[in-house]
Amino acid sequence: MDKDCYKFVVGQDDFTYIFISEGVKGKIAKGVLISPLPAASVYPFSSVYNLGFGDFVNFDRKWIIDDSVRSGNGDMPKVIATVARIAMDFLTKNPDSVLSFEGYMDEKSALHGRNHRNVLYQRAINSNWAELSEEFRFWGVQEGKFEEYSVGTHYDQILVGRL
Amino acid sequence: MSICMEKHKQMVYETRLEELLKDKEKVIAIIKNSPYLNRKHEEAAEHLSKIKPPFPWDRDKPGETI
Repeated sequence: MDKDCYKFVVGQDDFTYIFISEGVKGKIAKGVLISPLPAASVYPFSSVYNLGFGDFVNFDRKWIIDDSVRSGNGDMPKVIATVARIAMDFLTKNPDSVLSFEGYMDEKSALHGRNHRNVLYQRAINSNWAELSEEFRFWGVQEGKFEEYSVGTHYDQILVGRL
Repeated sequence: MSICMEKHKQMVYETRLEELLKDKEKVIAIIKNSPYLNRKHEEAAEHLSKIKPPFPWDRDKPGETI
């Protein structure tokens, strides 16, 4: 899992991470935010966190975070592997938590009925399954239902916790 | 011409990025206050709230029966 990842820096709060992607366009900073899901009336998501990430974009000398899908730096598999590594880092520090990953549906994904970023997350998980499944437990959401993660099955949403 | 402009834009970006990275608190604030990331977070919460419990991780908690 460490084989093809970028080095990352974690914020003092342990919920923010940053790393620098280096690809065909040069260096692009990526920000990762892990946030607890709010207590909902339906269910208190007390230990469930969501992981989101995007690019640092500079507009008129002001920095914002935007969707990484548009960066086109040609290194998305390495970026995804880094994000997966960050998730593992968070879960090692917060072993009672469950982390949710959700990708996005761009036009190409919608056309093929697949969430492109999830496909990449799953590729990173599947290719490191032997190592990851010894420490972490994965679940997938398919058609609104949870199931134990199974390599080779496509999921809309992926959740992971420590064993 | 456009390749030159792209390269220039990227150089400006990387120079500004170097400046930004010197201020770690600012970097964290940009991530934490990002409307894009917070919107993604709300979408995830909404998505999960549609799924009815019990959740598999609850089932695994010791001493709880569902």
